[in-house]
Amino acid sequence: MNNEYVAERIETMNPVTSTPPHKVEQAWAAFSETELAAGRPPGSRRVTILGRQWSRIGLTATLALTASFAGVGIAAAAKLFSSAPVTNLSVAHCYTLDQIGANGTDVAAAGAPGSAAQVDDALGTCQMLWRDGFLTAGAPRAIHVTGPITVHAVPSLVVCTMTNGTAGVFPGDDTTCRTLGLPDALLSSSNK
Amino acid sequence: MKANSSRTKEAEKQQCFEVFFRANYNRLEQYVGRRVPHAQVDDVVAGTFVVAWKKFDLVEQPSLPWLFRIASFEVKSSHRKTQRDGHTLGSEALEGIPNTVDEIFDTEPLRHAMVELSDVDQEILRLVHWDDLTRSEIAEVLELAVSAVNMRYHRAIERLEQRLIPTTTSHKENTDE
Repeated sequence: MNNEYVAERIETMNPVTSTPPHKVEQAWAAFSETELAAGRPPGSRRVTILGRQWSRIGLTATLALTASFAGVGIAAAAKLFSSAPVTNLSVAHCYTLDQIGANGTDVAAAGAPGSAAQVDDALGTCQMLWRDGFLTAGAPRAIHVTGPITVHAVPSLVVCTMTNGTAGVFPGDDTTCRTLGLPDALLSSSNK
Repeated sequence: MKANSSRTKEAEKQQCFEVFFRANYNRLEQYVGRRVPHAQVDDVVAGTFVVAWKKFDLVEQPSLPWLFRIASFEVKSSHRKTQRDGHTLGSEALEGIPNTVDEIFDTEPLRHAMVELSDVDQEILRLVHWDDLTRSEIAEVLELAVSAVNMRYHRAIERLEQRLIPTTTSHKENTDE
């Protein structure tokens, strides 16, 4: 055993090799709020909680981190519970309004029926129909385009899981499915 | 007029300190994380920056080694407090070190050998191998000459090796049986 070998092994035992991203931002926010505020002597205030003394910035940083982790957790849980897998992969529907009703068109999307592509491609197929002018806002059905195809603006689209388990592609944003009382589309593991 | 000038100076100091804080936060947090239990890291880091802020305009060139030196006092203070509260440091020091086992070398004896070293020896090994400082930066942290740092390091690693030899031999003998 030589020095180099031992040195190499010591390096592999390093217990801390990274810092969570954004921690510096939170720490700076806490530090500047508590220590750099005008007229406040630096480090003067300490708080006792649960029998131990905390510096104000240590406490603020800890609380900020805890709150951010809790926030991420709640958001993830909310997202999970407001999502549902698309179970009926035989057909999808491109809507031209952010409303459930007689607007838009069914697509037997590209990809083998029942495959993951059916759902993945539902969004892509609808985008293509918007881009090529087959779909326009509020149109009750797809327009038959004749002549050369020109490129049209594609609105922001979102995929929701319909009550019958099919994918519905609506113009809208993250809030659209919830507004319509539908869960966001979630690919089930069998679809991947 | 004088008040305005003072406010401008304070604002400049804050700006410089913010740059210094952001540039060195991660390295300091990792340095502290290698020396105190996880629950105390934020407090020690914050305490270090409070001291650094107070002394910021008293030093010519605030640097990472200068910050580590301040942190070393905060770490010692945290250890003293932990001991006062009746906790032992030995077991906590071991907690942070991962026990990675590979085919050639079991790190368990190395973990124990490191913990058995004196604080001075442990510290020089940490500074060299974990904190990724140059010898001259380490000299600044410890307020020693570079030659003294080199000597201290070689002695520490030799002592570590001496502690490892009987352990690894007996480990090998056990394995052979």
